[in-house]
Amino acid sequence: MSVLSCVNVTKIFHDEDFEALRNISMNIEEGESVGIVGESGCGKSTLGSIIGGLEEPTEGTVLYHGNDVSRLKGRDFRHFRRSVQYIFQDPKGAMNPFFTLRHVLVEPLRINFPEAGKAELVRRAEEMAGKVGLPAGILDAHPYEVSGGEAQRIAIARALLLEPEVIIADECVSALDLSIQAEVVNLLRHVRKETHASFLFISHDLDLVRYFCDRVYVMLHGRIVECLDCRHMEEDAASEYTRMLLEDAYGKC
Amino acid sequence: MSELLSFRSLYARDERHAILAGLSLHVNRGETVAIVGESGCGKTMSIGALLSILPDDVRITSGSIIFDGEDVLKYSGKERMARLYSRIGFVPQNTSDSLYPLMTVSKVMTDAYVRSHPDAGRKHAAEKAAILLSSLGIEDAERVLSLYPSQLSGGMKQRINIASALMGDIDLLVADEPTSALDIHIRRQIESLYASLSGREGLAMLVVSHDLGFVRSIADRVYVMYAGRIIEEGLSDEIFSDPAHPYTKALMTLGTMGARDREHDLPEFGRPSSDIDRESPACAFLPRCSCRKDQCAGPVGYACISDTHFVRCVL
Repeated sequence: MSVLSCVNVTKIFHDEDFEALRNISMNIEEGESVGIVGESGCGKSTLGSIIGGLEEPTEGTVLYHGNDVSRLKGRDFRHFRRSVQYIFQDPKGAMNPFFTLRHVLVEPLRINFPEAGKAELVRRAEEMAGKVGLPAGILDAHPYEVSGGEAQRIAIARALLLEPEVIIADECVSALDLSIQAEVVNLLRHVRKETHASFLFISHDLDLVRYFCDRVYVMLHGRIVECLDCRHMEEDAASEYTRMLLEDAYGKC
Repeated sequence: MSELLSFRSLYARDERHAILAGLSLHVNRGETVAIVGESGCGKTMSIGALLSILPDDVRITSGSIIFDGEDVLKYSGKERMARLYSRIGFVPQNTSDSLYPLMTVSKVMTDAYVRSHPDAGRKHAAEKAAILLSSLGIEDAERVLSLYPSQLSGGMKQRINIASALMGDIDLLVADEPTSALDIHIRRQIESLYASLSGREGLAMLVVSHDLGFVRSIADRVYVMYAGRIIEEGLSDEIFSDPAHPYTKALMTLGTMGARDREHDLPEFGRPSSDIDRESPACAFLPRCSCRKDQCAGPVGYACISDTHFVRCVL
């Protein structure tokens, strides 16, 4: 069964009278890495926010293990929230600037594991920092004192600490230098192997999505154009739009 | 070819660190030159040094910047801007924030023209703006001129910034990461716009970018920058087909699309260390280099590979 899926989801932003998503159905299987590609404004981030429960759809349903997310209450809802974690493009923007990085990691643990003692939570945070390749000393720093790559590792550590079933990564390396991108992508690959977490990998970089994911949904103007197996995209791509993306990515270099 | 701009052994530092450590490069008239390198290597700072837009705590400690035969560093910030304004156009990295939100495109562009042509009338400037936008491939120029920045897409903002820079009759267009914030499809359009500019008579370009595909498509010559100085320079073909410095080679591997093999991790080569001494005569890339030798820790000079291709490496 799918970990996360959505059925006939439409999203209209009434303030702007703008239809961001039109009748979208998609799913993420257990342990699967699913990509969404498309240009800015095509609705890929909106879809990511809706399927992870950060925003509500105007129409349609989001399902977590087959259960309608909008009906989840109390403990079930908190479990859903904990199980679906986000990594954003701008990690520093997703951290409280007044917190040390240790505090950034411990805060969600404290909320989700209220029974554990503080020393235990700090120990888990420090151990996870080590796992994502950060020196323990860095946790005394504030978000603005570390590099973009280090901050993104903290964001990954924060997500992993909650032992999520699905990680939604929205343009999580596009702001980083190529050499740092490679490190972060390799780290996420290792996370996949070790935790068997599913991924929803949102990016405009078709080549990267193809490298990281099993399947990819191609989006255009709020709709899904097609869904392709990443291992043979060129052979399977039927739509003109996907062909154009492939050409843009590989045609000229 | 005569030299339009040259940085000669430029050193700059903030309160704690060296930022530029003997930066030397030049741009000939009509030539398109690119500087490539990772974040923090000093690419943007070198542009800041030229245009007098460095952060407050950064000081130029020695060296010179010669533009059209004259050392521009002898002028104070304001005077330098006034002198260079009509000669050098600048497209900043964040084109969204560089357009004043309450000014229409028309106002932005005519202001740019009137400032460098004080005698010209606004009407004439507006006509020139419309012609220029059309020449940059914008079909409904009149409509675009009436819009505010918030009504423009990212690609269009980039075009408007380029167009504003071109409103003065400039000799040099300086662009900082012109493609990094754009979607791949829009990126290709902006790339071809820059490619068409690089053929313009009398217009030189200095482009800072870490987008190697873009650099390859437009640059005549390429400088590879690391830790505040140039570590390799050459004709575009020489740098892309026959890179000599281990750093340049690593950049090329990372930047090659389609080379990612699903079964294996991406190649890594560490990250720039922030605590190296940029002014040291040793090779700054040494801690990350996979083919280091004993001589790398001593003074490292430039080796000549061809008349146009130089590398700062013991090889």
